[in-house]
Amino acid sequence: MIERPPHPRLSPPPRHAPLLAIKNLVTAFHTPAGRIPAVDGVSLSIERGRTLGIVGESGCGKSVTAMSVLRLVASPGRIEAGEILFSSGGTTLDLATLPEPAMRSVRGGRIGMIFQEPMTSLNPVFTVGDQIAEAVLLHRRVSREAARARALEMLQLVRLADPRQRLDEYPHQLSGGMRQRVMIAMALACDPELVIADEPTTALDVTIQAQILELLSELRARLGTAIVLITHDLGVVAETCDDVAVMYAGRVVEQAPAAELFARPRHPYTIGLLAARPSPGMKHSGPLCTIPGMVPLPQHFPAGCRFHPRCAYARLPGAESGSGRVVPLPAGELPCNAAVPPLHEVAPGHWVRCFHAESLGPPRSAQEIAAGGLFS
Amino acid sequence: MTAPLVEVEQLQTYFPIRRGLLRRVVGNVQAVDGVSFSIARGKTLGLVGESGCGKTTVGRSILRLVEPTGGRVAFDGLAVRDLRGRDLRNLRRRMQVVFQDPYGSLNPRMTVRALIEEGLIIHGLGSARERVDRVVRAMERTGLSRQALERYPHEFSGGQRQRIAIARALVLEPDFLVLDEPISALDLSIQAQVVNLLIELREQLGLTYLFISHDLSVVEHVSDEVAVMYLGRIVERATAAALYAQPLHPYTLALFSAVPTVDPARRRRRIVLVGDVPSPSNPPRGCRFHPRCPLAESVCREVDPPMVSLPEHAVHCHVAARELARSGGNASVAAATIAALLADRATPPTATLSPG
Amino acid sequence: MEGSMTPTQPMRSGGFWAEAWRRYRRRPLALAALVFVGWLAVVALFAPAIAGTKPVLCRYKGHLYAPCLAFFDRRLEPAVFARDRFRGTYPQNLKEKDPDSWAIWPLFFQDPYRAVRENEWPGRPANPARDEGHPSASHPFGTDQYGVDVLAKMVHGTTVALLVGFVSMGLAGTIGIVIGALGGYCGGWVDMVTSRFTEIVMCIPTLVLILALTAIIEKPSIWKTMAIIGATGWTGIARLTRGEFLRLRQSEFVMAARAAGAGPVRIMLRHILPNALAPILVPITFGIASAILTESALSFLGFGPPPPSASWGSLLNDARSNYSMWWLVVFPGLAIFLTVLSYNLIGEGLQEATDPRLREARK
Repeated sequence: MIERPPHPRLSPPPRHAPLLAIKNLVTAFHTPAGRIPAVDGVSLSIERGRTLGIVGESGCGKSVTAMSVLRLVASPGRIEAGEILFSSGGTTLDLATLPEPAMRSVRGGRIGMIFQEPMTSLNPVFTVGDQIAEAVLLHRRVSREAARARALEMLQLVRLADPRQRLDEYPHQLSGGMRQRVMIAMALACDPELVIADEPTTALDVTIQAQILELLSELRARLGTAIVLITHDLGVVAETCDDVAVMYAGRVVEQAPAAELFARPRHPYTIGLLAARPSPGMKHSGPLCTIPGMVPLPQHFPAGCRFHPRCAYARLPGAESGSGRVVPLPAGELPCNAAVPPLHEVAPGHWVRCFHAESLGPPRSAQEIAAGGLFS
Repeated sequence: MTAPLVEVEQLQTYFPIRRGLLRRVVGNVQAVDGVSFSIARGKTLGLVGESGCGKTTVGRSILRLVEPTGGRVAFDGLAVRDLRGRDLRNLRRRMQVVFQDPYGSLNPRMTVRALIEEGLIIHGLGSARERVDRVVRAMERTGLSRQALERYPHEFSGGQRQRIAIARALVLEPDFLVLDEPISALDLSIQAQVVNLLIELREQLGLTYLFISHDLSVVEHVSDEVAVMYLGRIVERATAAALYAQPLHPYTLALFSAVPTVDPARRRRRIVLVGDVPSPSNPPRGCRFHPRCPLAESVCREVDPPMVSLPEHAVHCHVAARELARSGGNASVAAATIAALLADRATPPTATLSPG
Repeated sequence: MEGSMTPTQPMRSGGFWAEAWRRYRRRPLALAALVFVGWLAVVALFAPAIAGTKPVLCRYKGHLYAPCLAFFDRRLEPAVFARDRFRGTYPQNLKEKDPDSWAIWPLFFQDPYRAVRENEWPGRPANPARDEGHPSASHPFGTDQYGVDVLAKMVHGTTVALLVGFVSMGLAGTIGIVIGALGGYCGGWVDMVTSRFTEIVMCIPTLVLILALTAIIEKPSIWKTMAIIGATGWTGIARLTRGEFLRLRQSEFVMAARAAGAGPVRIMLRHILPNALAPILVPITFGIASAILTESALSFLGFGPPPPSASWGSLLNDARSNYSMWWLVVFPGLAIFLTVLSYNLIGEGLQEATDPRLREARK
């Protein structure tokens, strides 16, 4: 059922049958200014009942990846290559090529979606109950009454206070946290096998964020739904996810189980991100570690390893002088600005897209990095 | 100990709610209600709190960008609320502001040079040539090159735009900067660059900051003193070290515990508060935090808690006051007791979150 | 620390208007409309040199003259020609009274205000009048019932058509922007008063008001018509300006300008107006189109400027009493249609080029 990837050592091998396997996905936007490859060869897999976190900064392609799975990429975006294999009920569907009518039954039915801004993703002219019931009626052959009963059940499940009364309220009557609970209830109403949550707590305050994350974890444990959590917050991922994929400039640069990734980050970008956060006790130990330069725009992704212009470990040929970090290249080694490093396994389940992941010295923990400062 | 540069006493800013054809005032949004603090020259006060707690309004009230409805604001001995016309304009040269959104705070129709130069023109400072020199100097301080002078804001990334906004604030050589969420809109890898820049400028130029943010760890890193706001009031104020080591107010504790962290050693037991923040147009009686507080007692529902002051710490909470009295003013003992009480009473997490 | 930063995006672009122009240029229809209006402006400017009966330039008794300017204003007719009893007919008189004279003639020897007589131009017959004035080689658009050449009338009417648009909408734009800006920026009772005033003016049916005013006004002229159209056509602009000012007043860059110490006038003129201008220009452009239509309608109804002023609308009015002369309807009607269409296309192009949503999408 599962196809072997062309190079067995170049993408994470499945441990169990994955629920969703994205293989070499390429999604690009065609604008008058040219082709913008927002997602450029992403491979990911999510197993049943687990939580995968996709982290990255703005423009890294994490949301476009999620939208590609649901085939909701807005024009002029297009999935150009790759497979999105979704194994559901004993069959495997390729969502990249599935006809639109079949896709509609997947969306909201077998895959639920939670968006960042619950105010704009709920329709302001319908009551909360109607909207959840509508989601049920789209995918199930049930009566209106049964759908409404299901809506009530869902509101109870997401532990909204006074669910019976909320059923007849409009979205603007609810607070941000309550609206996000309603979004979750809608996403779960049809018993999906997978829920994609795109920055579900970014618009919320920390105390409300804590409530929502708590709820998501609890529901996953109870219902066994797999979750893809897209966020820019490393802390959120560390506390809620089983596996983490770090994206940079349209590619996955590091992928590992969460505990492994945060204890022993191997990609210079991940290391830099973790070090850039102020940690307690660092106050008088000087400035924060920074990653120099800027996040590249998708229309100007650099060649080779896309992180190399900002990377302290980049090995560049002598011609690229002036950067002050010219290292004579050992024979047979590829320069970071010419060749794309493959995603390869450095420890069981730990995949890194960097030529020098092994030569970065012994794996360091996040605490060590914060204290010592790999980057200066 | 130097004299405070900024002193705020019982600051109150209400926004009227108007309804109907005649736009009668039917109530008030009590955005800021009795906030007091002072900032010494060269120091930084961090103001933290969730959205709608009034922290942004505090900053804008000090700058008179919104008119406070009560209380006293003194800047270097000047009563800010009484200033009019020319005096107010002179004051504005000395206190500047950097906003959260570097996309919205820069006029898209003006070049970088015009944006930064404008303050100098308004205040009639320097000839045209001197102005350009000062603009370039401010830009170089913030790490922008001279080539950016004649460009427009949309040609820059978020981090660079924030540098332009900082240069604009610096060109008038102010004493005091209100930094209103200056890094919240920036990408993670860019945030550290801007934080470092702000600290470096503070040290080089002897600036005083009011650093408003919801990001607790950045506030700790930047500030000397931190005040926590909830629903228009300061609930706890302390030196950064004291506040983060021994938070006394249950809200502060809940806030700290809610911040997700990548470091398992630092992960606190999460205290999940029930419910939402009440509306500031109709705040609860007594302690404003009581409807969500796991430790609320009958006194909390009736009586507004007075401030309890220790040398480096001040807190508005009945429970904290009692625990402090019981421990003879030992903040660390009181903080430990409150933390234990909260862990006991708060909703226990229903699922383990440890990654597989 | 990293060194000095320079913008990496090579999308080196000019300001907002340069960007808008770049987007506008991509729309062929809007561009064609702009070219058409530009061409009309050239026609209006050089009307006496295109069609007329007075030399563009002539040498007479040792001096140089440009009698054609008399078409713009009678007082510009050189006095010497009146003294020498030219009576408006130049070709024969020039030759007779000064054999050494020379003249550069308009492209098209026809007068917009009178019929050309027999032999006025050596060897050419008089203009046909009434039904005989079909379009022909010598009169491409025909002649009217008095034998006046329609093409000459239309060429000179271009000035009126363009002026009506620009002057009346210039006036309306000024009133609308001032009233809207005050209401939107000041708020409170100022907003209350300006908004109610705008609504009251809005309630009055414009055409009826204009008809009433023209009935009262003594000595109607094209300028008074423009003033009336302008004074009644500002309401939509005022409402839009108010909305834009209300929105932009809350923006952070205005807050930043206030924090820098800027006063209300500076904030309104330097910070808000440039940002509000693009959306306001759109209804002004559409307003020009409707002002031209209104003027034509007034002239058609006989309330326009009195003859001999040659507006396209008054040509249509002539056609009312001469049903069989179809060319009096078709050519001026087509000119009005094309001009109004052009302004609408320009307005639409402007909207597309400056729409903030489209700008966002580009990012």
